[in-house]
Amino acid sequence: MTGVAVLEAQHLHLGFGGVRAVDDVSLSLAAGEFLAIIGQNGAGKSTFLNICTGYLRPDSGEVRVGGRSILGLKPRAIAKIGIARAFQHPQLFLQRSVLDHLRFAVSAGRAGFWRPFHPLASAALADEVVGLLGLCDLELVAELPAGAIPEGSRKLLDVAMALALAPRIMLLDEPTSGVSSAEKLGLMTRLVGALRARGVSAIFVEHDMEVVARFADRVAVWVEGRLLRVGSPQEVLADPDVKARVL
Amino acid sequence: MQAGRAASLAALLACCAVLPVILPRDTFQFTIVLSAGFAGFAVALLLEAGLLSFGHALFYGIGGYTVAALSPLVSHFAVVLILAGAIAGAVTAVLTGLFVVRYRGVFFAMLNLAMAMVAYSILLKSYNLTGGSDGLVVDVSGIVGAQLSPQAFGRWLFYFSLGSALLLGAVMRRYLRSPAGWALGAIEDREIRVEYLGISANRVLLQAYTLSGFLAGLGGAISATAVGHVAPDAVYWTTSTEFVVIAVLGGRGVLGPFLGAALYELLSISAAQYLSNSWQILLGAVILLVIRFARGGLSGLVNTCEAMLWPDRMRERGLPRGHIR
Repeated sequence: MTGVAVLEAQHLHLGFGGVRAVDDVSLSLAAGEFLAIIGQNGAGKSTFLNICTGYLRPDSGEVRVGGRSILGLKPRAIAKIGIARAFQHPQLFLQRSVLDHLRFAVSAGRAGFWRPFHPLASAALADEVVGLLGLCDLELVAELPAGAIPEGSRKLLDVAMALALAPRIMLLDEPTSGVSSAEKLGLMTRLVGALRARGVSAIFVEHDMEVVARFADRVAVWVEGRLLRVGSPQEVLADPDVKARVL
Repeated sequence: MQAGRAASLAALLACCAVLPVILPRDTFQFTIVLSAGFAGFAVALLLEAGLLSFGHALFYGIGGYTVAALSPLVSHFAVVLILAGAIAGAVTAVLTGLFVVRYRGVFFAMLNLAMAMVAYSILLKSYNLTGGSDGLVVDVSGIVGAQLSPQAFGRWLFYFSLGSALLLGAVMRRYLRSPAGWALGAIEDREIRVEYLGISANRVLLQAYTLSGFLAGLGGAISATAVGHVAPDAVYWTTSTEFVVIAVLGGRGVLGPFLGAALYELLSISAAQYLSNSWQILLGAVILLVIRFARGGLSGLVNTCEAMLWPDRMRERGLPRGHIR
């Protein structure tokens, strides 16, 4: 890893009954870096993201953002200090329009959120909302309900909502799952472009090695709750041990 | 299109406003419809977040008892008394809400019911303070200092209730279109996404719960003032259930609960004349029909009619949301 670490996880342990989901994991993310996490299903990849966003609390270990411990903080508090999350299954309000999703997400970080007479469709939010629509290529579906747009657009909408918080770090859980093979690279190009345009560092869990090779700066390989290998995509994906146990 | 909607609303209000002139003997009943409409609105507001309360009679009763307790002191100031009843409902909602908004689903419904039943028992047992099962007399006969004849006071109370419904309807409409109001539906759909946007779902719900308590307290205060009496039955679980029925019949939105209250009172009063003590059969049949054919309640029917007559208007306002999932 090069550059200043924006997120540092040290000696994380978390078990569910007899299963060690995260076992002595230490990992860091540098500013501007795109770190891919690969591994088989159930290896503990999503559990790691859940710890970093406050959804789960580790049995032991530490997670620091900008030098500050975030253990014990709730997901909303962690969101406020700059860690945003996009989900494997986009968490959207299916009957509401794409535009309203972004208005809501943009208003979430503003003081006007709690004012009862502050309209959701406030003109003050318009520029930010239009910017996010353009950044994530959602202009053509802006008026449609989220339930009526393609899965790729839903993924982008989920990311756009997270970007509305102006995060420093984005955690993406399988951003290309549910998207056809033909659309995966296009989706990731738009997604990574949107994140890089805002200077956001990212960790993404991914199963498609073509996506990993193309978009990750570093790759962390997860096996049964432990980190097997961390390195550049070229090194890691060519490693015989990784090939045998993960690929 | 907005002008057409405003004209429809103005026509409806005009019809309501002339009711005491056309049917002066039923003015009391119209006031009761409005008071039940406020309580139904209180329940419907929480339904926006998918939360069903079986205990809103608590705030309704608190509103009524507050008016009863203060009426000997300021019997000629109905406006002050009713406002005090509504505020008492809101304060009670804040205190209970700090606890109950942490829960969802059946736990939320049952905790509300439990709180209301605890209050019912206290009211029943505290004879020296509350009159026990006899309740308290509410003697209010003036608005802002001037004493009125019972007929004039009844008319004034109706118009005050109608004006309050209009004012609070406008206020709540704005609230439901604000980010915090919009968040209610978002919490019902995906609470986890709301939290990951840095928003406290519990805080959003506490705000709505407090507003809900204010509305129910207002309904109870108006009802107690109109009836001239309040008893522990106002807090009993069957009263809470009536408000749930009104909310289901009326559907979501600002107008729905008042339409629901009108239908409920119409059914209970009219059917009682023909079905003696079994008017609930008719009520049950109507609820079944609403659930089967009009899941959005009466307001959903209004939206459906609007969509058929003016499809463009519905597109502008977005998709209507179902009431019962």
